[in-house]
Amino acid sequence: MVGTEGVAGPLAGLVDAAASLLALAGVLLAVAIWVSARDLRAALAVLLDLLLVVGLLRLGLLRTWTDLLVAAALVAVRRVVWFGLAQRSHHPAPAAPDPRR
Amino acid sequence: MESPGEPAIEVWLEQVVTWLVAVVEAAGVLVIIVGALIALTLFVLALPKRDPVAFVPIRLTLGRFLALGLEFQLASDVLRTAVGPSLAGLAQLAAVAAIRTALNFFLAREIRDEQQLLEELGREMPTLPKVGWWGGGH
Repeated sequence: MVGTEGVAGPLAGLVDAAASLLALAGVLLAVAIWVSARDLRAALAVLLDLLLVVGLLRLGLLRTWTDLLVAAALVAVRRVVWFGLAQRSHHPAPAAPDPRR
Repeated sequence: MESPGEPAIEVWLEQVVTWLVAVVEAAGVLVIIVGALIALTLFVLALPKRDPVAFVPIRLTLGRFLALGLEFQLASDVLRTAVGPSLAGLAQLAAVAAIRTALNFFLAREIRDEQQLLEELGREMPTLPKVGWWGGGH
């Protein structure tokens, strides 16, 4: 197919390996951020960013229509999760009531 | 090899475009991988700060590298259309280009939002050079 001709041959294997390593690094880093900063939102945002990197790298290696549909679905899922994160950051949880009242 | 009935110039042009597509696509991949490695290093260096906001400028930097890489990949998609692929190939190319364009659009919006957040917080951008011809908010 047309979409596979850019990163062809031996480069494709390298890109695939790099994408897998970056996905693993993203998961480890997200866990590390969650543990160190105690902020699930920051960890999830970093994980989504690195998974986007992986998706971009793999987009050049797509072989079939199924691959394309999966890539499009992943972009959509990432957007939905990102939208959820953005909504939560724009609408912070209400402050606890003042105990003196 | 030159196929019978196909002019030599067309065969030559197809080979040149195929090479150009490979070079431009590889440049895009290189930009994305370099950006990811720089961001990973900066993320690890920011870990001891234990500050969630410290990761935002790094994500902005990564976003700029991704946007530049996407521009290269979109350029290679456009180049591919020059060699007259089959209808099925063209449809798949259009799908890939649509996904990349959508990603580019959303990435630009995310970068703008994150930049606004940083401005509200009065934080500085990291000292890495800005990449991407559109400059991410100029």
